[in-house]
Amino acid sequence: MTDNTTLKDRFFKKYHGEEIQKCIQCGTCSGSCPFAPYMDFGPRQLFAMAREADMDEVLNSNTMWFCVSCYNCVVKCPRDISITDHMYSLKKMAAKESVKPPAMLDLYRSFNSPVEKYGRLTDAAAMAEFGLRHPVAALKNMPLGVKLVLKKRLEIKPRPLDNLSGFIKVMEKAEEMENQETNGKLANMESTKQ
Amino acid sequence: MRESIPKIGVYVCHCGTNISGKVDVDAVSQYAATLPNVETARNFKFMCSNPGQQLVIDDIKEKGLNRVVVASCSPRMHEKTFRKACQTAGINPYYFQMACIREHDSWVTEDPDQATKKAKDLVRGAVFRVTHHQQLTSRVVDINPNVLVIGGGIAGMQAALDIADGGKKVYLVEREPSIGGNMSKFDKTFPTLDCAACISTPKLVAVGQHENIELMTYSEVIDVSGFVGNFKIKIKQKPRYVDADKCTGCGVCSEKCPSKVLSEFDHELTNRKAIYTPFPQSVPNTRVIDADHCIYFKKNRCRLCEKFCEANAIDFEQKEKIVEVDVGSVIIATGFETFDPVTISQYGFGRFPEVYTSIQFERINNATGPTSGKILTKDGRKPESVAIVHCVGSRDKNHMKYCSRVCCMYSMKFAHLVHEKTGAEVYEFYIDIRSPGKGYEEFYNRVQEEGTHFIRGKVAQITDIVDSPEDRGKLVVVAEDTLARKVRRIPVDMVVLSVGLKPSSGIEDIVRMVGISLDSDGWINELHPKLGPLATPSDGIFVAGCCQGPKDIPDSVAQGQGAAGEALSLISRGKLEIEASVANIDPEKCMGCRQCEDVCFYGAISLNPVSFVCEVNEAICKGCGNCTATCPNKAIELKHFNNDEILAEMEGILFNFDKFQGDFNQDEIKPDIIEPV
Repeated sequence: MTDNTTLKDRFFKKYHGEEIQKCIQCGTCSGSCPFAPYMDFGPRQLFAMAREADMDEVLNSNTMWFCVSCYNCVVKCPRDISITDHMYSLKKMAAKESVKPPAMLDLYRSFNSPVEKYGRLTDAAAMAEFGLRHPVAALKNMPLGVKLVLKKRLEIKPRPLDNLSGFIKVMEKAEEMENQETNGKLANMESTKQ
Repeated sequence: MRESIPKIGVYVCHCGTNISGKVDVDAVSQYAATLPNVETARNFKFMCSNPGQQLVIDDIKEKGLNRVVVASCSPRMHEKTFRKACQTAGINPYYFQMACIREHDSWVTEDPDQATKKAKDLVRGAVFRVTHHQQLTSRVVDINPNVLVIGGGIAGMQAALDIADGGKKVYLVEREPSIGGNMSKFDKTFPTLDCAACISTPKLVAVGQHENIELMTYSEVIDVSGFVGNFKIKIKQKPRYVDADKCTGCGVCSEKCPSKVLSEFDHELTNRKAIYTPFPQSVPNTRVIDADHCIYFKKNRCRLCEKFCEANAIDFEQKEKIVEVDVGSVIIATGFETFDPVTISQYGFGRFPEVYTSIQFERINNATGPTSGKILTKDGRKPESVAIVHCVGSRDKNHMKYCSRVCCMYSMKFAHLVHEKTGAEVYEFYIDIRSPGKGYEEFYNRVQEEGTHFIRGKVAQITDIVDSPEDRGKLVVVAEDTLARKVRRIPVDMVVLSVGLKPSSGIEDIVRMVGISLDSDGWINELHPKLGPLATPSDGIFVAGCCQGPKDIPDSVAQGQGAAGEALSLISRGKLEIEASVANIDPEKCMGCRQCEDVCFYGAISLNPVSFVCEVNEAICKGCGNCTATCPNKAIELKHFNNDEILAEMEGILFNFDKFQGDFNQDEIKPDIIEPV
């Protein structure tokens, strides 16, 4: 397992998390976050921990998985920190570096895999995939599933995109770009800001 | 005009470790010794010290040096020091050249080898240049003893009073109808809780009555020309439409005036009339008619004030006047205005009636304010809870990135006043409490002991959305309590936004007129942050108070007094030596196209109507070089910066001496052997 200091270094250098050094710990982000009550730590505290290299706790927390990219915090941040971007970085790091990937990661993957296959999210496919990974949780949600089917709110048969091969090419390119790793990421972040 | 063979002395300064920490000073001085015409080259720990200067003086006397190069800091720091040393030793002070190897080299270069190389290049440039220097004599000008003070706030008033008490004439220009500035709006002042009016009103009266102060309210400076000791100022006096000599200040006109306007002085919490004085203790107490809102000016009828004025003081025919005055120095004290929080939409200022800015809250607390000093909500209730939000606009990259310095203290003053007057619960939402000052930390402790809730967290949102029964009819302040690590929603009756300070509007025009600059936040750049906090790069222009950066009252008063001291010291000297580097027009080459006249910032150039060539007024010329670069006929030469000197310096810097070995005569350097290093 990678030690905390190395992980912090990786977050700072490879994922450009260095920016959080600017944070003055005012708490505007946690105060504005609609999901703060469900998070283990608010973004402010998460950054304070990351700065002091408590990366174990940071990567195993649920904070970044609860981020819904509403950008409320980014707009108000008095230090102009791209908080949402760092949440994405931490999600990525947690998926790659954590010993015990969080259950939330499976949910993310279950949503993603039908998209990769059909170019579109199909509820039933996502549910099935998640059910395979976490049968107990799936069983618990069974009554809701039945209700949805009865109300015809659940799409069962996947409808692939018309130009699926084109879509797959796009995704491949995206993956390739991501694998080139974060060289261009800072530039992207800068351009988003502008 | 080279009088004899140049004998140059080169002195490399260590500046403690500022230079020697990066630059190999031994190598530089040894290298300098090999340059043409260099008689002696040394290095020394502190060249600006007495022994350092003595070294130069002794060498000039003993070795017969006639040119001196010192490689040390920027010429802005010590050029004068070494020129004086040269003069003491008996050579013309303009036979000195400085190579800046600190600001331009050791402080900004990371690699020691590169730094040493650059130091050698700069020294070589200076050695080449100094050979071409000419003897010049400085001019002496008289100092006009009158002083102009721009801005009648506490800093400007203090400066004016001190100079006037010293027996010198002061013109105090204020753009509002009354002097007093922001301080006259306050109720109490931290940390001693003196009443602001009690300590400022006597000053207002003193300024108004002083025989040496010519008070010009409702006036603006529109033009500044001239130079240190001899400024010509144009002042626009806006028409008051009331004869100041006749008006007794009885106030009947204001009572009778039918029009209502939102009061600027009360920050739109109350109404005033179209004929008014900003506040009861205004100086001068002459009323003023606001032509934009006066019914007579808008609809050509009414004139009620004229009818009721027993002194016959109303004069609708008054016109704008331009007054010209001559002064020797100018003190800028234009102060600050408060940040407008409308742009921070999540705080709801302007949307929720119970959200106030701090300056509005000052007015609410003030006995002459909208509620006669009682803290009441707009519907007349006593608040049960009040939130005070720190850092509104300050310390925020989206607005003003600096700390406004006074907000923490005045917010805690508010907390105390709310406790005292209403007994309400007070919540202070802060990021950091900054209380550096005499008695300030003690005041913080006192407010803590009074039971104020200090919550460390910047407010994320102020909302009227009801989440629980307690929230009904209240404003809910949402913030993370970063110390308790939870998000709090606190329902309150009143919210005070502690808005930051920003430079007064119109400051750009004033700095442009006097030829100084603003920093990136819009405050005036002082000459030196530590050793010249009141002076500016323009001689004879001083600053005081908040126009240079946010300050509290004691600091503003101290700066006002300091600036007065600077001005008085200048006046006491009576005469001033001025740089000899001025433009010189060759009448043989000038064709009278007058392009130089257009670009001259200081109005120093005019066309001689007889000979039809341009002439420079050396007393006004500042040696900026604008005309020299503009002249299509190359008829203008800037003394001490002529082509020979500048080209020689460039040749010196660019010439790769290492590659050019052998017998070496500087005059023979041709462009084809110049190779960038």
